[in-house]
Amino acid sequence: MALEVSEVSFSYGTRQVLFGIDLALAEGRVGALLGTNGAGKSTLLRLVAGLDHPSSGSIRIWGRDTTDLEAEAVGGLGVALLPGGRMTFPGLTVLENLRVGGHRLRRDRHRLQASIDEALDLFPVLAGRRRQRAGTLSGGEQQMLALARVLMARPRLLVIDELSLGLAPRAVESLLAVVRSANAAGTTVLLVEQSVNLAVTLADQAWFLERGRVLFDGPTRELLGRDDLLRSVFLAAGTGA
Amino acid sequence: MTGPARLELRDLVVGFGGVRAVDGVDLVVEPGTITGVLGPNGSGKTTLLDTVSGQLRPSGGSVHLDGTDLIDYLPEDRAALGVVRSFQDCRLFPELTVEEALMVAEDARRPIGVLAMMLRLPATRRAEAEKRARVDASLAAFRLEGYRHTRVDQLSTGTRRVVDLAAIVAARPRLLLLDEPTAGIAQREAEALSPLLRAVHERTGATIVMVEHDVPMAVGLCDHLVVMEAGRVVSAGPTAEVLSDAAALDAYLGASAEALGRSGP
Amino acid sequence: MSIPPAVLVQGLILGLDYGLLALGLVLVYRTSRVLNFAQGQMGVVAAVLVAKLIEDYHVPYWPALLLGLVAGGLVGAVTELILRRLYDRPRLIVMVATIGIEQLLFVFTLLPFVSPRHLFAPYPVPLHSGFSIGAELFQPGDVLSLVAAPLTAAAFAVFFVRSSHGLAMRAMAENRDSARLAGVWVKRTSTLAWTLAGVLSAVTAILASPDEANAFSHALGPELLLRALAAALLAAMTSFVVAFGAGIVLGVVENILLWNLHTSATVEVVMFLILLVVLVARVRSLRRGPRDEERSAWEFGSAAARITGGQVRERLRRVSLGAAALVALILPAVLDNSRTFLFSRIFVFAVIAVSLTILTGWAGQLSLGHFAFVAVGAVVTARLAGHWPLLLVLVVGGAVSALVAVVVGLPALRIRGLYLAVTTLGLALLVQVSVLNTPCARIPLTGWHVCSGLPDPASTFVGRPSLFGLSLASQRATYYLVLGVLVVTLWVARTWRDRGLARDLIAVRDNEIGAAAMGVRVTRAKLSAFALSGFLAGVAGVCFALVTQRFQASTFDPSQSILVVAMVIIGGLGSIEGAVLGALYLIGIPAIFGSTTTVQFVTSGVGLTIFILFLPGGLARLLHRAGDTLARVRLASLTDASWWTAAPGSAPIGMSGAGPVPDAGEAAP
Repeated sequence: MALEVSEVSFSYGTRQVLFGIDLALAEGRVGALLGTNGAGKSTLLRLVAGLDHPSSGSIRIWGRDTTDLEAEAVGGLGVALLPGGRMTFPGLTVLENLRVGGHRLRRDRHRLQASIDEALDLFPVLAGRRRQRAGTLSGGEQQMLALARVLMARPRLLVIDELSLGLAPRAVESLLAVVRSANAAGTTVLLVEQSVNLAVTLADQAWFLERGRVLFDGPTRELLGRDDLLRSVFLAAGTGA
Repeated sequence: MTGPARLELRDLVVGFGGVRAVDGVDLVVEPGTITGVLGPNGSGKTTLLDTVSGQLRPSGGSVHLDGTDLIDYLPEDRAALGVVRSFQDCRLFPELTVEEALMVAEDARRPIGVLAMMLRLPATRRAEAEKRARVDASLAAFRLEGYRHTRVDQLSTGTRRVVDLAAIVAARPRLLLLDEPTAGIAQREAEALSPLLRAVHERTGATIVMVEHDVPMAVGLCDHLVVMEAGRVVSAGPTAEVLSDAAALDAYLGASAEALGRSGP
Repeated sequence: MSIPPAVLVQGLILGLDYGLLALGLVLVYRTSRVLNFAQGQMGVVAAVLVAKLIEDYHVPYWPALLLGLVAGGLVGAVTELILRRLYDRPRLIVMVATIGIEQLLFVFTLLPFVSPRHLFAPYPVPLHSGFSIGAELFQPGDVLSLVAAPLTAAAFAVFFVRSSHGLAMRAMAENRDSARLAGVWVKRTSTLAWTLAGVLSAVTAILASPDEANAFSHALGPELLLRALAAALLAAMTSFVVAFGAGIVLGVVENILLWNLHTSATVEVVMFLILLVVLVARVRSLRRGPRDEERSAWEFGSAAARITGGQVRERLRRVSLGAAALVALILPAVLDNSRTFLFSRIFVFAVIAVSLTILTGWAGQLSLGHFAFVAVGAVVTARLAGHWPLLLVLVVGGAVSALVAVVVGLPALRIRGLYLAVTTLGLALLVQVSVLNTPCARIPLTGWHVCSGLPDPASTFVGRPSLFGLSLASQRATYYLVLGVLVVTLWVARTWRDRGLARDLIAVRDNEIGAAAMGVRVTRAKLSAFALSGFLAGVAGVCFALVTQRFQASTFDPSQSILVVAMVIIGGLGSIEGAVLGALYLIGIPAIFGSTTTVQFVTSGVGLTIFILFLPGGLARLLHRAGDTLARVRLASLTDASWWTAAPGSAPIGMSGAGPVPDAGEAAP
């Protein structure tokens, strides 16, 4: 298993947001976390990446217990998280953003340079804007930069929070192509999506979260048949009735 | 002015940097209705509320309340006109007690004169007594007496929502803006919120505009729905009509349907 | 009018100091969102050490310098390790903690094993020849500054732009989570940033020291820090280039002004105006970026404890208040004159602390210049005490001070938090250095000579008027007057807390947007906080002058304002009784152990740091805990345990359970 989350609970202060979450994702697969706003999806991703730590339960990545590992160390295991909301370093240039992405390679100048070149090849539109500040890029370009940056670490597990959030279809398309090719090259992908269609086309496996609990765990196609779940979130239910 | 207010947005645009969070919204909300604003994350719903309540200044277009252009009104001036709102995080005033938080809402309607208060003028004392009586009534109506002396930051999110609603009612709203009233609260509390909101609507008679992710709840409560996507209104009208609108469906199932059609299975 | 080149070069030397200091300020702010008031003092430790090594141990210059820089870095790193414990606390508290550390470091440099034997020896410099421009001679130290400061800045720039660690720091400042995910160890990086800031500070101090007559007592005082802050703010706390450049420009401007106007007083006024303009102009860009400094909740000592109300607590409160009042009434009978004087002073400070509690504790506006308002009251007294009846003097003193406070509060409507603190510190300096010390001034460009009619700053005798025919000439009579003022102040503050006003202030402080959305008049609330606080501080100023029977400009220096801030924090920010306890602690203890400035600094510096770190609720929380324990003991003896289970709010219940949700029918009116 690439990722095993067992019995994970988490609270912000006195407010519990995750209640005994279980999920397992096999190597090379794509998994999608779906659910309403505030269901705890992003929180779960933060726990996987080590930015926060569960109040109980455990997280294993490639069999290794990472429950209490700091984000810096989890990243070193080959896990990359693309946080929601176009997470670039807005005041740094495109090139500097990528240099930060290659922070772990900083002692090897040649590998660093090579991986920066690769990243720029992924999204040619960025190559022309090397010296531009990331904050001045368009929304789609910022998301491309963020994705290119996290891919520089050549992650074995890529965790993405809301890839398509507020982006134009064309931008989503080129981002998706890159995620697909990374997956084709063997990277396991876990993503949080609001768009069911997108999740269905991308993921083999899905979990449906509501108010901190897993209500569905199975192949993505089966989720589409579960009208009772989608009813609570999506308008589809309204028209279907 | 009393009675529910009419809200009219014309060609409203709000931009941050290169991103247009609200991109040309036209919307009319009739007095006394409950309108639900739906849409995926980042579609500009909260930004829309912010421009109506005055936290954000739009970069274009206008906000009219009963024909009055609100553009140059501060949030507190809008509150004086009856535009009152709740916030998603529902922080309220962490270090005040529930009673004090409700008193703040009363104070806002009838400010305290500093000197008058110190001198304990009869009129001031009477006003203070009236405020207290109102707060007492409101605590009773919302069944919050048990929390009277509890600090707001020690309440559960659900109870804090109720306190927030009580404070909002105390502010005598004519247009009530609610930002995700069910956010962050437990399932049982969320179920209890619908009747409470209906009660608030009856009690105040205000026009209500609410942003909500819990679709069944919004459908049950609202007589009108507005569906937003990427800063634009994709569908608006009576609830039943919007529910059968294909555009609204698309907004929820994925903005990039056509992109997907071209790029994969 | 042509400016001699020598004036410009002198200004440049001055400005290089400001620039280096500003670099350190920006570095720390960008990486940890802390406005570091110890930025100057961190390096003074290193500068003193270098002198000690060279003078006392005859270590050659360059090894000594290296050790000094290492020491500076160490001080920076240790400071960060201390402050790290506070990163989840309000930014204002962290800033006050840096003031505490600054004072600690100051005391540290005075210790015998740190401080050189010959305090007044010239500061060591590796060069022996200076140069001259016209008639102006430049010392070897100046040469050193001109060479080393730009080199340091350049090296710093290269590190920050080119090196991966520098890039990591910038990335961390921009987006902490993403930096961590990319493998930037933020804790280490943060320590590294502070280490670097320490080294920068060391360089600044070592370069600045040769110019000072007595390098070790106040090498980098508040004036220097304020200039550097202005430069850093001009750079919106982000751009190093602008910060360094602005520092140089400020130095040059200051020196030109000094050359032109001759009086430092007028220069101070102009520099303050520059600071104010910079702040108001920059306020937009300063607000961008993470706004955590405005969002985080405050730590209150009193409010939490007040919940466990009950009659027993109330009775206990009354008994202890009565006992305290009784003791205060009897005290003069058993104390000698000097002790009576001491307690009068404590009471005056208690009034000042209560007034600051209103402004900072309730309204959330940190004032580092509160003594300026006190000074206003004292000035009024010095002018009027002989002529007007006492009650009128008290009211006028308060009113004038309230007016000044409102004027200061006006920019605070736009400037908030950290930046307001900087403004008020500037004001404190301005009042002491310029206004109070300059009864007469020449207005620049006009040639007018204007006298403000202020009393003689060196020392003006203040007579004690009588009250309703009762003479206040004796120390004892003054004691009772001040006690009376304190009691009235406490009653006023309690009334404000319990009915109205305070709750509006706290609402605006904790959630300005929410309060405004509810219709609370934010502007009105803030300005009334300034007015009320200013009034009480002014009244305290009247008492201050009456107690000391003297008006002396030097008693109103900025360190007094800091002392009052320490009082309200040590007492428990926001708590009225805490303010009184803080005054007792900070004025009482030094009085017992000797009243030198050093002891005062140690009590406030050490006390501040310890209290902020380990006792966030301050003395008030200790008091309330003691009260809770007593109440519990008393209750147990009453054998009526039902009070516990029946107490409303003693255990917050969720909305489920008894459920405070009314159904539609019940809620309808």
